[in-house]
Amino acid sequence: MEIENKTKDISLQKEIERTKRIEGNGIGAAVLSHLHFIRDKKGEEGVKKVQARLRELGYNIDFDKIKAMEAVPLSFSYLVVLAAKEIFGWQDKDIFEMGNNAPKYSFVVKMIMKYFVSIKKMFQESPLAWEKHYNVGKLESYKLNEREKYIILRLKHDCPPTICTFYCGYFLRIVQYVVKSGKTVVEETKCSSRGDAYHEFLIKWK
Amino acid sequence: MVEKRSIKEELEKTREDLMDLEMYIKEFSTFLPLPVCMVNPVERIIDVNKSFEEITRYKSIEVVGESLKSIFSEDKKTEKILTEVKSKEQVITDELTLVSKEKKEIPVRVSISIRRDESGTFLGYFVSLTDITEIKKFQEKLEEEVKIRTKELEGSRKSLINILEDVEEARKKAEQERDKTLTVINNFTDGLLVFDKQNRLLLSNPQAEDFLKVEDKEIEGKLISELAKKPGIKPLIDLLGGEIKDVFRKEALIGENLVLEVSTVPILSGQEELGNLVVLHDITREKMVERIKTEFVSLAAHQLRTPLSAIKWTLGMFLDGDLGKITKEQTEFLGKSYQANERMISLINELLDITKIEEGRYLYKPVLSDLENVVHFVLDSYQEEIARKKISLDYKKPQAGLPKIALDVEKMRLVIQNLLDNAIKYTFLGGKITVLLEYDKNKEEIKFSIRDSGVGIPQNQRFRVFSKFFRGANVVRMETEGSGLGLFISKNIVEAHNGKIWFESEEGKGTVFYIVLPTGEENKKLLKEF
Repeated sequence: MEIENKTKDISLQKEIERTKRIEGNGIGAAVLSHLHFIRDKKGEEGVKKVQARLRELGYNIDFDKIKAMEAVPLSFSYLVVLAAKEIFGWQDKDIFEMGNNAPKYSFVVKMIMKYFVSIKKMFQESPLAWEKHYNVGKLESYKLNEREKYIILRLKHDCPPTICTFYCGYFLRIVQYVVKSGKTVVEETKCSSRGDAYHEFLIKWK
Repeated sequence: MVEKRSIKEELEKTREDLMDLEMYIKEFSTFLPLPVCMVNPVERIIDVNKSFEEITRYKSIEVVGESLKSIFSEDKKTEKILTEVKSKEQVITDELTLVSKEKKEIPVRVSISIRRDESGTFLGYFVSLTDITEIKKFQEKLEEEVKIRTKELEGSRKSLINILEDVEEARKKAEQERDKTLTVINNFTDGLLVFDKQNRLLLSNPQAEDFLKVEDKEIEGKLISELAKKPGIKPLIDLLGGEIKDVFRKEALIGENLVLEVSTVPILSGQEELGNLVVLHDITREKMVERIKTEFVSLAAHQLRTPLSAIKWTLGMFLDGDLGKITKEQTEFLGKSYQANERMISLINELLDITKIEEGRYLYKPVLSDLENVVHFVLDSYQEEIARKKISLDYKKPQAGLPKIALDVEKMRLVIQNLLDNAIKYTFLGGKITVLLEYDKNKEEIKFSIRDSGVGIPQNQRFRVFSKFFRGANVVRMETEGSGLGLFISKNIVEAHNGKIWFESEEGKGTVFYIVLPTGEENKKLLKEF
């Protein structure tokens, strides 16, 4: 799908500053997935650059020591994404791809996929999965219409616009895993950054 | 006392175990040489191992999330296998074509099993791949070889069919030829009997069946010995003998009125004798005509001989002076008339001899005699003529003499006389005649030969030498006397003695006539017969 570069006019520095203020933890597997993507795209050198930038931002967490099931600050996880965007000049489509590929890298996702055996199961289990791996925010399975082939997920969690793009790719991948259709699209119909009470993701398939 | 761990410690421990497990699975997956992937219930690949990445050339990131069908060229077959795996709940192995990232088609053996969790929920599939490129290559090579061999066999089959067609065509032609031959045989005016090598009757034509008054089913397939039991055929079988001997124009009287001339012809295929053909020619009418003719000649000869005897007697009286003295000139003319009358009487006598031969009345009276005496008597009677023609006569005979044999002396004398008379007549003045008598004890035969240095017999007329009234064209021109009956009579006399007569001749150089007479059993039989 075509990814519009919606965040082009948003200051990355402001996003970084905003992200640094996000509280709560997520599992290390998410960070490892980001690093995996960066390594695939920019090699080990790229990973080192991101590590250095994170240090500049005041995060002294050593990438090599991150464990998949260990808790890491959610801000740290998001800043890895933002740092990569900043360093490599990535556009929204790159961030979308990063999010879309993240479930592929994640051992944890592979494990939880055993619960996502159908779109209905995925619809039921997704909030629980979020709850298991994040201690902030809430993912709500708002609507599933199998006849008209769409699902609406709502994320009640404060995250910067770039991360919204990341989640667009991420949730789309989860749906792609459980529908046979080759044509799936995602749209963030509501966004807390735009003043909405939550982020709302509409995912359709044919 | 064991100190209990806190919940946090327990959680930390569980996390460590989980990470160890991840590491273990990752290592296991990395070192597993078999390409494997995990597929979720909607048939999307959710994980692959290192070997899978190597065979497909896709990185994990590129292929995870894709439909399993997308990596194979056969969509429907893949779908079918997955359905079968799910319905049968067992591992299914089949062959598919893997399409690698570089679009290279790799034949693979795919084994798919179903994944369920502990509660039995269907979680998807495990898929393993085995590269069978080499096996396929070998298989294709084998198939190619089979194809080549099949093509060769097809070629051979075509050749065989062509041969069979040729054979069929040849068979049809042979059948047509056989039908033609059968038509000819069936419509042949002569009777034909075909015997195989074992003297079994293979075929008879309608004419033969008509002659012998039998039907084909009665006689075909039977041995000659069995045929001899049928009364209508017996005279024929007696003539042919048990082994079908060579027969040429022998007569067989079938029933009361039918006379058949029988000849046998060996049927040969190259050097191999396949059997014998017996030809039956109806000569009943010819025999009747011949008999009437003989009777006529006999009657005419008898009627002529009486006045000729009267003329001879009258002329004799004139010449002897019983009717008064006649002049020298009258004597000369009457003498010529007497000689002419004598020749006429001689001719009439010969004609009568022939009629007797033909009527089977030329009976002769064999007695044990010495052939040398017969020859000697004839030579003596021709001394004057030999001297007149200044012919050199050479007569040789065995020192030890000849055994006595059964001879009709009078008739045998006629034979020797005929041969010597011809030799003298057709030998020029001052020529040479050699008479030879030989005895071969081993062969039990006496051989008489008379060689002249005369005119010889023309090549193209030799086959007629023993026929009635035959005279060579060259001797007719010499204006010598002769009836043309002598050799016919001689042949009949020699054969009546179970002997053989033949000749060798070279035109302009002379002729040799041979006679062989048996001295053994064949000769002794004559004494018993008369």
